[in-house]
Amino acid sequence: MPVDRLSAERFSFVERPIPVPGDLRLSWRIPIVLLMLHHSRQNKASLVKLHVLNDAVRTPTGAERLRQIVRDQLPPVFWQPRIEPAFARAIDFANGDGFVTWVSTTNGSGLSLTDKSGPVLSKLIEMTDVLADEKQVILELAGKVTEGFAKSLLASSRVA
Amino acid sequence: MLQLRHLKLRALTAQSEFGCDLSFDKPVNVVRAGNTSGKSTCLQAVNYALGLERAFGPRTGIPMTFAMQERIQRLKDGPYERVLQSYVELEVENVTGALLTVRRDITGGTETKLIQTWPTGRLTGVGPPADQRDFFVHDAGAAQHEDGFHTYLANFIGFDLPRVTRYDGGESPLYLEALFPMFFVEQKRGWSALQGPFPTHLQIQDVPRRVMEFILDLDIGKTRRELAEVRIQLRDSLSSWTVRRDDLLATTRNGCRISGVPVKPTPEFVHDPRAPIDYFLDGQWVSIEAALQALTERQLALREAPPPSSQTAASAIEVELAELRHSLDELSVRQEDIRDRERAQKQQMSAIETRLSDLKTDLERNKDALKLKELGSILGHAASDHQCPTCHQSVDAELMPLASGTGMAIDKNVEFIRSQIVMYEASAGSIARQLAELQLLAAALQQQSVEMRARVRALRQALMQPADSPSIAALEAALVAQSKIADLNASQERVDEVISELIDIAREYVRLDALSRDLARAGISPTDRSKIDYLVKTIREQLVLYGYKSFLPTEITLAEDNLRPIAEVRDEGEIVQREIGLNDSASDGTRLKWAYYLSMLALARHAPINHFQLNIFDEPGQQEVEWESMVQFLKWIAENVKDRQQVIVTTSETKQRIESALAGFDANIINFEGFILQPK
Repeated sequence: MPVDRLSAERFSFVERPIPVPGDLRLSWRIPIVLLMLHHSRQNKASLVKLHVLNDAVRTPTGAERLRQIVRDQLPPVFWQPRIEPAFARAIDFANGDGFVTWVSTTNGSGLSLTDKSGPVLSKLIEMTDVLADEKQVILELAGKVTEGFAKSLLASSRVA
Repeated sequence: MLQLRHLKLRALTAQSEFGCDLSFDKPVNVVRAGNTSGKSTCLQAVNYALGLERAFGPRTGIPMTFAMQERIQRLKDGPYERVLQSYVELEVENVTGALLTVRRDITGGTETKLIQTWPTGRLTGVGPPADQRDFFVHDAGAAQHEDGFHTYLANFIGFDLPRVTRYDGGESPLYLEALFPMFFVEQKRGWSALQGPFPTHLQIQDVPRRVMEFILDLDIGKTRRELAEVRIQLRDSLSSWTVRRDDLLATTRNGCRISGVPVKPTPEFVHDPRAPIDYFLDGQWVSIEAALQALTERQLALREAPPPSSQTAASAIEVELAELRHSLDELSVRQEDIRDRERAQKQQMSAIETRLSDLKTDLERNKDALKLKELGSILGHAASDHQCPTCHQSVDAELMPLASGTGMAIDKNVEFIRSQIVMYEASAGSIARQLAELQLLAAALQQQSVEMRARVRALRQALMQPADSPSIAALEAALVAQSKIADLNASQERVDEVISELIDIAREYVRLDALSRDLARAGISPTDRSKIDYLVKTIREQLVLYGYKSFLPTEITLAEDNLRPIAEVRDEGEIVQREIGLNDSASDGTRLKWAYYLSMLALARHAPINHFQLNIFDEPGQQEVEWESMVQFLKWIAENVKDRQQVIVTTSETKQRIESALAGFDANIINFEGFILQPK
């Protein structure tokens, strides 16, 4: 193709949307945050505990490992603390939407559900075909991972 | 159908006997009394007598007020007397006119799980004396076993309760407790939701849908149950196919390969059932017929030529031995190569499996995200409008921190993952087939190597024989050929036998498969459609009467999935469905609930559906709904509820207002000044 023709034609580029992993979807992640808090004592939990649960909810291996540590079948040193940036963003959005509010807990800062989360939570619980596996993991582990337990998990992975 | 005829409550103290007797002898019954005077106690007593108290929550205690359990007073501000014993008795009637009286102790009597029954009208004195029969409620099996009360009650009402799936994957009947919130609107929580609210502790999946399908006796529910049944049969059929197919493949491990038997039965197999057998002969696959012919010829040739003496054969044996050793070396190289290929395929397979499992998880998550997004604004601005709630900038990139682009729309994303899954599954299937082929080849080569080694041993022995004896190498070769022929013939026989069984299984499978496709495709039947249309029409008519304002009455319709009322509104030319929250206008929520429940009662007059033919409304004047709406509600009931239908309403409105609203109608107004429970 001659050079002058190339310059004469206009190019236009269309940005194609990229696929998003389900766990990076806002409409998936915000409900998860709310459910984790809902199943925690007094509808509130520290960031430490939320990060621990988040790891278990995201992957079956994470869930299985936490389950074994909770049952004392595995020493807590096997827990790898992970901080997921997307999770932190989800918390900010949930906070911005007024579903949660920052509180201080025995384990540093944490989150507590607000009254505004009531309607969405009751819908989430009602929709039994949605988040089935995740709900099961949260239901099973949110109560067992107490603040004290989360703290000890974190402590065990610190270098002495 | 279930009609209440008479309710009797008793609470005995050391001094006196308190109680009340309510006769519901007309289709329309209004119980009027002041606040906190015992109306809800009476209605709770109805639930309790029928053992249905867990329709409203999982509590195991007795759901009755203080006055029936602990202490009771004659007048407000009067002294309390301690309740020593209390019970409730209820007389009901079914569609055939059969009567049933039930009695359940509340305190100081027998076990509270026990319900005593008499198949006669003990309270109104109608019917001959009859024997008492005791039942239990709330024990495992109360709704399934013969002596469970709810089995008995469901039979009495004329319900054949369907089996439904539980969260744990098991099955249970659709308990009466799950249905009851659609007939009884309880004061505390009943007005907080348009449907139910249904009990969740029964562990039934998708309760609203199951309940509505049963009550309206929808074909779609029956179709789904039939489909579930057919799918179970399909699964059984497939598993017996797999067992027989594995048998078949196992019978032919001796160097044979069978093709043409698919992993799943296909119509093609039914019409043209072929399972050609190949045999690995002299380093390559040949058909069993060709192998048999070759072996027979070989055997004949050996038989015809007289066995050479060891001496004459010795040099030939030497040559053969050298060739054999060379072939064995080549064979082991080939085997090694196949093992490598097998290993590589397995690695690839495991990578694909991991990817597939990740994709499936991702698909589920995106699908969940899509469903959750349908919740709309209650899920917050970030998730529903893709707008940051604080700075109002677009958050189309979802939670991806590094993404510079826009995230795919969720429905497109779901499609995208699905197509990826299809690709990967195809790839996994092809690898699995190649692997199976390689494994067969490996087995055949192994077999060949065993045979060659045996031949080497035989040749070595032949070399050590006395010079003038006939060579056993030649004899051995003839024997091997003979046994292979026998082996192949036996394999063919076994295959023929199993194939005839497989054809039968495949025929049945193909039939079931076609049936299940038909059932899965069946949408809403015309009968279902006419029922739903009738409900929508009746709801809209009533909403006009009741002064419903939140939406236009013509915008109200029923959701396809579980028939809850929703609104269909035009938004910039597009029709969008909106959930109706009760937060926006609570009094309109109450109006819609009246219309929704009564529309089903109206439908029950026209179509044979599974309705109690009874509605109980505890304090329908909720949320300060205007009196004019309430008058229209009572009038609609008075005009439309008759014959073998019944509505019971409790209210604390004044007697004059009720009487004027129902003036000219034949209604049973039961009025109480002061406490309903009074000394007898």
